[in-house]
Amino acid sequence: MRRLSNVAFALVCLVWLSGCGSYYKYDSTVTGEQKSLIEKDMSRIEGTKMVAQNGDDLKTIQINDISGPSLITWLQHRNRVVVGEDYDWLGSNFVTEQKVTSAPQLLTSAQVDFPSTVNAGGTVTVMVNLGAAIYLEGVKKNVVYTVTAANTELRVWSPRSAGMIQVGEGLFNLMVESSPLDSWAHSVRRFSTYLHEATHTDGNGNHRAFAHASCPSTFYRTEFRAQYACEGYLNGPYSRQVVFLKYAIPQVCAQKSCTSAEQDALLKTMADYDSRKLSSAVYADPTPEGYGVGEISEFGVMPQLSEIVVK
Amino acid sequence: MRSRIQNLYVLGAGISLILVGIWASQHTDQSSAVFTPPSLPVETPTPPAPVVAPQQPAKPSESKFEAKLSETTAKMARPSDIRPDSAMHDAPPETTQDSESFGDIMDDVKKDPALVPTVMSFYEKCAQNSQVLASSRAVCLAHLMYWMKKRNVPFDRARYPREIISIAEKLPVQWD
Repeated sequence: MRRLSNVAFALVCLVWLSGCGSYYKYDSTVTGEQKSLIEKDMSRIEGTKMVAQNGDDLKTIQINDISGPSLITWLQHRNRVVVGEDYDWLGSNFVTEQKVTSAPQLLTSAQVDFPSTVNAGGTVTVMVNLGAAIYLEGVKKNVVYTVTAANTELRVWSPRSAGMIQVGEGLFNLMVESSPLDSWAHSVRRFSTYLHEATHTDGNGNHRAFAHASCPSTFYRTEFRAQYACEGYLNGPYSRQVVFLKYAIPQVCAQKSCTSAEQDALLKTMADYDSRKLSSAVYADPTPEGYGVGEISEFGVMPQLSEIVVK
Repeated sequence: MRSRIQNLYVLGAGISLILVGIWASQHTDQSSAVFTPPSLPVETPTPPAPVVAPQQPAKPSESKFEAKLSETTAKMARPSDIRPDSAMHDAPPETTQDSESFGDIMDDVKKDPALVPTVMSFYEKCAQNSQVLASSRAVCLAHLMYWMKKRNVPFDRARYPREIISIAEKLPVQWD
């Protein structure tokens, strides 16, 4: 009996060591340092107790509260697998494509900006919601793709079913030279990016994946004109980052003795995100879509929207 | 030596008084008990004299500070600095290229509040500078609004673009 319990204990330890204790599953294309930083970011934010002072902010992020555990739960319902810059879903990780006849609501606008390849044209990848990108590619071709990542077969029948995000070197760039990559300020900045990418698993129909909008030719930020760099949603990816940073800068970063330079960098980053909001921005229904909603995915039943209560 | 013995005596008397006070408070009807801390003639320990007097951080002179502000203005990124191949999906790296300098300025003002009027003038020019990135202008305006409010200076919204004000009003600038 005792031997049996020892074996069980050893098995639990083995499972935990093999990654069950992690926030995400990691593909082999993610470097050890990247994984370590992401896990640290998640663990740090989970331990925070931010409080939102404005009901509109909760309406924007569509989570009941802005405490660390709530943010982590929200993220984990959307992102589960992390792949690295060298991950190629069309290469050795491609499994099948299955024709579908019952198309979800079709995109009528071409406002989709999900690079399906990274590093195209020499740009630096920060982070891409690859699961959503593959899903959108499938919607265009009326197919559901199946790929592998982190030793797992993922059927991409919804932007949320794979929960796959791709990280690039841009995510691990320094905001300010004097601040190390594992500083609290950098954790806050990267975490805001995780929230951004997770938002791309939400939305349906024309608002599928809360895609970015093309900035108009008269946009006041001239450098963004005609780029898919604008925010058409009051509850979209950039708006979510703005709310997070609004509370994380004074309630997390300042409490953790961020330097003046780090605070300035976070303020400017927040200002950049907020500056992308179009005057025509609207609240859109975040209910996700997919082929065969309710299907059991590799990670279990897709989270129900009823878990989100907008006050 | 004698002084040390005296101190020990005083300390012993003090401890005895505290113990008596605690005992009395525990043996008194709680509803009517009023704990009065015994007044003790305890000497405040004098810290040893420093070998070298602690140096106050040198206050940056006004002209030096102004030179720093000019250098910072020159460092601020302009829309044309954003590389066409820059990933527009996230804040371009140029957004924070002046953050070390802005942080340095903040630290100087925290050390020497006499620099506030100078830095307010700097923030005002920066917020009105249409040549620099909107994100920098908004942060400058947020700082300016902070100091104007603190000093009861009325804010004239007509002097700044609506978009910049809208961003600045959300930014949680902190000086305390």
